[in-house]
Amino acid sequence: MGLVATLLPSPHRLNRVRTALRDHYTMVPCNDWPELLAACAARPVTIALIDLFPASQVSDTFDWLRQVKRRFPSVTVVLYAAVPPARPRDLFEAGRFGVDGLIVADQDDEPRRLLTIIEQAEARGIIELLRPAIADVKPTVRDALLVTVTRAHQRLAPDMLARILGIRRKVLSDRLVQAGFPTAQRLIAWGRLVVAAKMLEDNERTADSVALALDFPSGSAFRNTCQRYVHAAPHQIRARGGAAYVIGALLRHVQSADGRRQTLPRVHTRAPRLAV
Amino acid sequence: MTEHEISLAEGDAAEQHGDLAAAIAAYRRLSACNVPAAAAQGLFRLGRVAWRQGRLDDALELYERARASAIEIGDDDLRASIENGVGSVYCQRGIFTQARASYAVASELAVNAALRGRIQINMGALALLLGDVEEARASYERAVELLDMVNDEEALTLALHNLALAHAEEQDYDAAEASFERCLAIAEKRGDKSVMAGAMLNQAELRCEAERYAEAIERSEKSLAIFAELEDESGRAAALRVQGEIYRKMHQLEEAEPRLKEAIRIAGRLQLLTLEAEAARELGMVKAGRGDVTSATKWLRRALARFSLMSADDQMHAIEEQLAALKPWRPSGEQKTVRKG
Repeated sequence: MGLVATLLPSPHRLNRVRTALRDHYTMVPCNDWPELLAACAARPVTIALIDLFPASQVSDTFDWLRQVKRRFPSVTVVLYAAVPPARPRDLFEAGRFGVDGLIVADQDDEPRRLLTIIEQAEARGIIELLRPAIADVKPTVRDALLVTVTRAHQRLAPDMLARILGIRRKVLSDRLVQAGFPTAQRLIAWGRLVVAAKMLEDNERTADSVALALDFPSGSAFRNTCQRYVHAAPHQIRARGGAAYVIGALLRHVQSADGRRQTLPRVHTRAPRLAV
Repeated sequence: MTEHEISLAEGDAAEQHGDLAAAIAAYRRLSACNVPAAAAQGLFRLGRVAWRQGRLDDALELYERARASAIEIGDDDLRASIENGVGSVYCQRGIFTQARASYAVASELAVNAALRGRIQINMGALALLLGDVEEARASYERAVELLDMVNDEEALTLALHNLALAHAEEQDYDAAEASFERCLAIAEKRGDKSVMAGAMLNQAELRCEAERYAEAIERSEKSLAIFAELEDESGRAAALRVQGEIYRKMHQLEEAEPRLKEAIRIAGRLQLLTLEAEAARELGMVKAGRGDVTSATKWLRRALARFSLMSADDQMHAIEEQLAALKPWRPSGEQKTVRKG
C-alpha cells in the first residue's frame, strides 16, 4: 500500500479520492504546498495528487510544482483538475513540468477509473523497474517481492506478508527457498531498501531523512542495513543508480543462491546462437 | 512414406520456415504414434519448439519424457540430442554449471558428425558467455570443420556467425569479417534472412570500429531493411542503435538523435535492458556533443540505472566517469570531453 499525498482543496474531490483509494493506498491529505513538501520530505510518499487550479494565480502553483519535481523527482505527480477553470494551455504547461498523470474532474473520477490512473502513473516508477527484472520468477515469489516494496513504509512481518498473499507462512517460506530468494524476514528488508534507494535518488534527501521516513530505528541502523545487504553506503547507492542498483544486488544474491552465474546479457544480435 | 515419416517431414519443414504452430501440430501427431522411436523423436522436437518459443519449463519437461523413451529404446544419438537441448535451456537461464554437464554428456553420447558439430557450437557459446574467448574460438573452429564435412549448412551458418563474434572479441577483425562473409554467403543461398540481418549488423559494428563509416552505414541500412521486412522490432532497435553510434562518430548528431530515441522507445517497450542501456548511453554522448549538459546527464543516468540493474560494473564505472566529465567546470578549471569507455 503506497503513500499518496493529496493537495485537494475541494472536499468533494478529496472524498472521491478517499473512496477510490480505500484499501489500496494510504492517504496523506495536505492543506497547502509547504505541508505537501514536508510530507514528501518526512514520509516515503510515492504519489502526489494535486489540484493545480483552485487559486487565481496559476503561475504561483507552477512554481510550487517545480519545487516538488526538483526536490523529489522520485515522487509521481498526478494532476486532478476540472476543465474549466483549467484551460488546455494550462494542462499543456503542466505536462512540460513533468506531470505523470491527469484526472479530469467529472470525467475520470469514477472510483475504478481514478484508481487505474493512479496505478498506471505509479507503474511508471519503481514497480516498472522491478517487474521486468523478475518477469520469470514464480508468481507467489514475485507478488511477495512487490508487496514488500509497495508496503515498505508499513512495519510488515512475515506472518502479515503471508496473510496479504493469502497463503500460510510455511508455504511462503518454502516457495521463497525454492526460488533461491531470501527468507520472508530478509525479503521485507530488501523491499524497504529498494524504496529507500529510490528515495535516495532525490539529491535533497539525506540518509537520515530516508531512515526516518521508513521507520528505521536510526540513521546508523539504516546505514548498517545498506552495508549488510548491498555492501554499499547510502551515498554509494545513490551514485550507482539508486533503486536499480539495489534491485541488481538482490537479483545477484538470488542468482548466486540458485547456482546461476550472472553475465551481462548481450544485445541479441551480438549474442552467440545456440544449435539444437 | 509411413504416416510418422510424413509427420516428421512436415514438422521439420514448418519449423525451418518459422511456422511453429504447424510444427507443433505435426510433432504432436508424431509423439502420439505407437512406434516408440518415432514418438520419442516427436517429444524431443516438441521440446525444441518450446525452447524456441521461450517456454523453458515446458521444454525441460518434454525433454525429460523424451529422454526416458530414448533410454528405453537405447537410441544414444537421440539421447545426445536431448542432452544438447537440456544444456541449451540451462545456458539460456544462466545456470552454466548444469549446462556444461549436459553438453559433456551429449558430447560423450553423440556419434553423428552433424550433432557433434552442433554440440561444439553450444560449448563455444557457453565459453563465450563465460568470457573464455580462446576456448570459444577453438570450439567453433571444431564445429566448422565437422559441419563442413557433412554439409549441414543450417548449423554451419550458426557456427560461422559465432566464430566471427569470437574473432571480433579477440579484436581479430579481418578474421571476423571473413567468417561473417562466408556466413552471409551461405545464409543468402539458403534464404535465411534472420541470420543475414544479424551478420550484416555485426559487420556494420566492425566497420564502425575500423572507422569505415560509409560502409558501416550501408551495412546497417541493409540490416535495418531486412529486420523491418521480418517485422523483427528488437532487431530494428539494435540496428537503429548501431546507426546512432555511427552517425555520432561521423559528427552528424542530428541524424543520430532520432534513431537513438526510437531505439530506446522500442527497447523500453520490449524490455530489452542491455539495448536500452546502450542506446541511452549513446544518446547521452550525443547530447554532450551538442553541449546540452542537462539532457546528457539525464540520459547517462538512465543508462547507469539500467546497467546497475544488471550489475554491469565495468559499464557503470565508465558512465560514472562520463558523468563526472560532464560537470561544466572542473575544480582545476579544465573542461573534459566525454569518451566512450
